[in-house]
Amino acid sequence: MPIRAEVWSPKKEGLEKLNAVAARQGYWLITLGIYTYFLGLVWVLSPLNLWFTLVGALTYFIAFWIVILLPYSSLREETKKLSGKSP
Amino acid sequence: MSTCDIGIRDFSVLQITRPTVSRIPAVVKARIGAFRARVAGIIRKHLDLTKALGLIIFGAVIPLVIYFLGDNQWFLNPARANTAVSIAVIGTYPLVMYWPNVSVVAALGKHLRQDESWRGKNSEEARIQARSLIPVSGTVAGISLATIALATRLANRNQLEDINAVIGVGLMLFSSILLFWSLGMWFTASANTS
Repeated sequence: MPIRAEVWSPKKEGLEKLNAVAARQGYWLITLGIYTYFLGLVWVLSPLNLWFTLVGALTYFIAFWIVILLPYSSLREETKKLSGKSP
Repeated sequence: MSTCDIGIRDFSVLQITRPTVSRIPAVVKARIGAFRARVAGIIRKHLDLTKALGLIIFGAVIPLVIYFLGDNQWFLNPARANTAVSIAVIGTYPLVMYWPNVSVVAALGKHLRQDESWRGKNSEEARIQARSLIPVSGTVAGISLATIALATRLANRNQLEDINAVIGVGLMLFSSILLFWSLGMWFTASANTS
């Protein structure tokens, strides 16, 4: 007589929800991980020379300005559409 | 049953049946509640303005105050400079990641994070995105660990004697833990449910 194992068969909706929850967690984990890596690098390099801290901060905020704030006006309509708010 | 068990049981009963008496008068409680509701209403009404104010406070005001506080001004105090920069950088994190009106990354991330993207036909596309992020997390986590090895090895003195370097190594170790967790989460998100 073949042995039949008890197989748990969850609902499909539940699995989709688990996918979404995992993606939400993965999103904040990967982004915060990259941020803390950058900060760790700044702290490790600072004993060698404090200019590393200054240059690290300056380059971060220059990139921040170019990537986030500069296209704000030109991409405003698109980001509003993406975020569900009609312009 | 030992006497110790009885004692523990009696204590637990006391814990449950003990009436909770609040020291805060009802009038004060009501005022605090009304104030909180009013603040929440203002934030809800001016959400973007609140976020911008938060960005200015956490990204600029607090770091500058820390940086120029006390006698050791300018670049004489590394711990203070590092703390100021760290708060400024972390202060901008919510804006980049969770402000879809401003940040393209946040606008696209919002789609990945919402439940609708994982239902029906949309789930195929979302799972492909999650699958493509698995090697990204793994690679960055590996780079983080390799940087720790390089940073502690290539210095011409014992880095671990310096508290700044120790904090830096700790942050990078923490980042690699976060990144390996994210790797697992992308793997979970990419599991086929159809």
